[in-house]
Amino acid sequence: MALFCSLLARLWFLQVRDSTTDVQINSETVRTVRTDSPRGQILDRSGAVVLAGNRLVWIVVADPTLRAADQKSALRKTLVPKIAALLGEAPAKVTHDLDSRRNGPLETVVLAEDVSPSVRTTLAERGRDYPHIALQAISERSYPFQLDFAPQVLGYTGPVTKEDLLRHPDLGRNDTIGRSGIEGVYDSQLRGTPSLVDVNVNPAGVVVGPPVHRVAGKPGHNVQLTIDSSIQKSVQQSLYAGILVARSENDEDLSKYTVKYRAPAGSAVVLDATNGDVVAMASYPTYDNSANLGANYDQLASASLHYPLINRATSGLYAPGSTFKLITAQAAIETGTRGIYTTINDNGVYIANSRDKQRFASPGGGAGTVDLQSALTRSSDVYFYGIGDALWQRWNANDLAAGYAIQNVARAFGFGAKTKVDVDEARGVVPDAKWRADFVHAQAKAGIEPYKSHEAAYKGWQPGDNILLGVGQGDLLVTPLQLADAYAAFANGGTVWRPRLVSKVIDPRDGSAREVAPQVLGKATIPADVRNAMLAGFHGVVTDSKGTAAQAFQGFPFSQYNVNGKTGTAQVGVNKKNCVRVTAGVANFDKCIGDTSWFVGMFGGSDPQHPKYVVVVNVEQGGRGGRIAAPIARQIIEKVMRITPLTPITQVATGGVHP
Amino acid sequence: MTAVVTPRPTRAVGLRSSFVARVDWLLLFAAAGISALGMLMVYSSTKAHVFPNGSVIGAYYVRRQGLAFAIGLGAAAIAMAVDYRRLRELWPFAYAATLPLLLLVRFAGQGRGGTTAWFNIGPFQFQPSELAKLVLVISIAGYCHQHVGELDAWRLGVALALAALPMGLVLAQNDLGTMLVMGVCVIAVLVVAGLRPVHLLVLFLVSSSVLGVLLVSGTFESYRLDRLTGFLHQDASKRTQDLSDSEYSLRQSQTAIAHGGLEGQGLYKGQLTQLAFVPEQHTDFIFTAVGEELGFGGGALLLGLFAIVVWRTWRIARNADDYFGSLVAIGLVAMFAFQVFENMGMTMGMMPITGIPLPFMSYGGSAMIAYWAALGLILGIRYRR
Repeated sequence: MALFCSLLARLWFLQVRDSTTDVQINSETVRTVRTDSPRGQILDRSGAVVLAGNRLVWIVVADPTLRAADQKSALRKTLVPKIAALLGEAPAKVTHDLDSRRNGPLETVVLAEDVSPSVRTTLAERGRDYPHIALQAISERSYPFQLDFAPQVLGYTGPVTKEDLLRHPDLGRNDTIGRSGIEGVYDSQLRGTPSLVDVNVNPAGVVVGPPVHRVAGKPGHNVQLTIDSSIQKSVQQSLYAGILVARSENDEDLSKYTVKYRAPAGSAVVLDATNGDVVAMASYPTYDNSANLGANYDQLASASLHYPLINRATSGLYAPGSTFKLITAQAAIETGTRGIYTTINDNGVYIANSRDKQRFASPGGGAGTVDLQSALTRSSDVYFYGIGDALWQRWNANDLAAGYAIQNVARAFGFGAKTKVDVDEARGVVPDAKWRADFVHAQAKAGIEPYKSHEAAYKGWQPGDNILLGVGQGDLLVTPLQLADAYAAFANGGTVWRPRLVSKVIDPRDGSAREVAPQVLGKATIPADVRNAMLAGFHGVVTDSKGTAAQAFQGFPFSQYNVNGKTGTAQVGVNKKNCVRVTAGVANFDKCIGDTSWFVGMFGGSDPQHPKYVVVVNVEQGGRGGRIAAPIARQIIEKVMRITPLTPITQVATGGVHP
Repeated sequence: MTAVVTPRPTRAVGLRSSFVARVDWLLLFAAAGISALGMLMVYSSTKAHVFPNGSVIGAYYVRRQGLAFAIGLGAAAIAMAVDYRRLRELWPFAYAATLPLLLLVRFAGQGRGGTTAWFNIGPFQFQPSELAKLVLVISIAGYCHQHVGELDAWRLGVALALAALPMGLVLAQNDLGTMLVMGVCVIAVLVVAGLRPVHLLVLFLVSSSVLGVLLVSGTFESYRLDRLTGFLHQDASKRTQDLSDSEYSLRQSQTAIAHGGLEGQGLYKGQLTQLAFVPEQHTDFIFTAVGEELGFGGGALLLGLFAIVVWRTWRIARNADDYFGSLVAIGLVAMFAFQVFENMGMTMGMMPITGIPLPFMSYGGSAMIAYWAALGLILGIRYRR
């Protein structure tokens, strides 16, 4: 009886005290089969145009039986050559794929992707001749509207990495994840959840019986952009055409040599000034979204192609040049440095009020007698040099409120801070004495420049720094989107909007949508009389015979359509005149960097005092804004205003004198 | 167990001569209950599985087991009806008939996992060692009965030689488990037959050293030793794929039983049972199906039924009219008790893995028929008191 008691006791201990949980059992007997749900679409402003969707791709997979078979087995010997012939591949490649260890032994392995219709037909009709392989349809990301449509905005997807799996435990090993742009930022909404079906398996891993548990998948949500697909397409075309024109033009700064502009890159943004909607955002060079980014990544990220993956509209940092006079003008009136109607004689050269009497020449020569309005129209540098100089004197006299007036107005209009746009962006720099000191310290720490004491570094903020800031040069760095947002604030009377790229996230199952409301980043105060004078100045830029973009806008129907603008020609090479290296009579221009060509337009809407749209065009190393950027902007404006036919860029991209 | 009404002979004096009163119904029903439960568990642990050719097993095994059960009941009836006392003189013929079968199966038999244990006869298999256990108990009991009170060293030697021959042949089939059962039965019979304590000690020393020599001499391949000793060093941290076959069996077996808990997962609802996670589950590891699906309650019930079988057989052994009947019953008590303890102990990791079936329960026709014949014999001993 003792034996029976000990059996009973053991049974009690095993079953009741140390009972196995279902979780432990399930880990052995239950396998979960994941089926991905379709990734959400990215739609244009109308919601009707699919910019990013899914494409059905047919693949051929081999089952675990064939994978487990020995290379010398009869099964392999008969099937592998047949499969290789069917897929048009070498038998060695098929064997290699079968023996690949990327997938577990109980999983299928992909032998061929995107197979031809003839392979599909063969497998569908004579599947019995090809046991252990099967045709499978998988979903692949596709960009059906246009291959190079705003690729830097839409972004791209890629297979998940080990790091992704650590960060998102819910991801499957073969899942796709958004890597950049909208695909990246809205990945969690776009991805959806997979359907999970739990099946029982026996010890050999073979599925037994019907599924024991199902979790239905949810399709990814659709993301509706504010981008107008038609305008975007046209903006991309205009930008590219304008860059080609720039490349055919001679560099005016190197007129001695007959050198063409390099114009390697550029960008364009169209904003709705009333709510911050990004109607179009283009960055050149571009790339095809369908391209196999994984395989081509190194090339796409290389200098030789000028980094097409970078969204220059949000991440490109440039000196804004004369377009920044929007800010300097307001700082001048606010501080009393200039009256609205105070006139200045611009003879082309400004002598700084400093001890060394530094000379600042106006690249475009003198503009004559100008007040606020005409200084903007003709883009008088001397008018604005004087403002930067005078405000520096105030700074030097410890009047920080006035001394930093340009910086303060710039920050109020969103410069030096992120716009909070959905995609990756740069912050930019609004330089002041503190920034200069920090910068000098950082440089010294990095061993780039010799160390200066903090005091000395602080003193490093010189009149020239503020003078150059006044005309959008020096250490100032902005993104095209920041510039557009600042002009949008001016156009709408002072509201700085967060640029909005996504208007709605839509659940495709019932069409219910979550709105992404426009968001106000800040308010800037612009006195009405100042604003009127400045707007008149901006209007003159395109309409006045002395306006810097008058040439580009000749023949424009101003009586019907309201357009205002500002050109910018930002110097990049500091010592431009000496950039040419002549060796053995051959001139080398490698050190020469052409000016950044800018144009900002404010146009459209029913109220001429409050233009509805802002366009910013930027061409790197493209020369004068009025000559290259303005004609591109004109085409874009015509497209947005539905003025046909569009004016060819070559027709207006000549002449003009002022920067 | 209290619910079962026991027909006590003392109370039924008036019916002493009647058939009904002379049959030990409790023993019969307990054994039949075990066999019925066994069929249910054989069905549950095989119905959803597939043959190597891929077809579903369904009721195949349980039908064959049912047939064996029916034949076993017939064999029991015959064994009960025929006067067991005739075996006092006839045992040498049975003994002599068994040896050639054991010898033949070594060379002409079929087997699995290193054993050669059975003959294929048409669609059926016949496993002589199951019969040999029964015959050996009868033979030793018969020999001891012929020399009652005179079991000196010489006679003991003859008895041991009688036992050693079939045991050796069974060992030659690589069936260590059955050999051990036989040894236990023989010792039980000898002890009751009046084995002197000195002889018992010598027997114990000799048999344990023989066993020790067998184990270390390399007579068995290492996996057999591994099976025997595996239960001593179970390592829960080992990953499943690193386990040896026997460690795997042991882990799966205990996991399945532990999964049952107090109430069990329910008939046909044991995940590990239904998905064939326990090797040999319908034969040697049948108790794991009880454990997982019927839980502690079912396991305790089964243990209770076995306790009844052992208790009633023990009672019959004590109350038997003749010495021979007592010895046979004692040998069979030892057989049942040892097999139950070893088999269940094995599934719960208390005992080494030996291929011993659970009496009346494990799938296997020869064993089923042999146990029921043995039960018939026991009932016959009770009947002729």
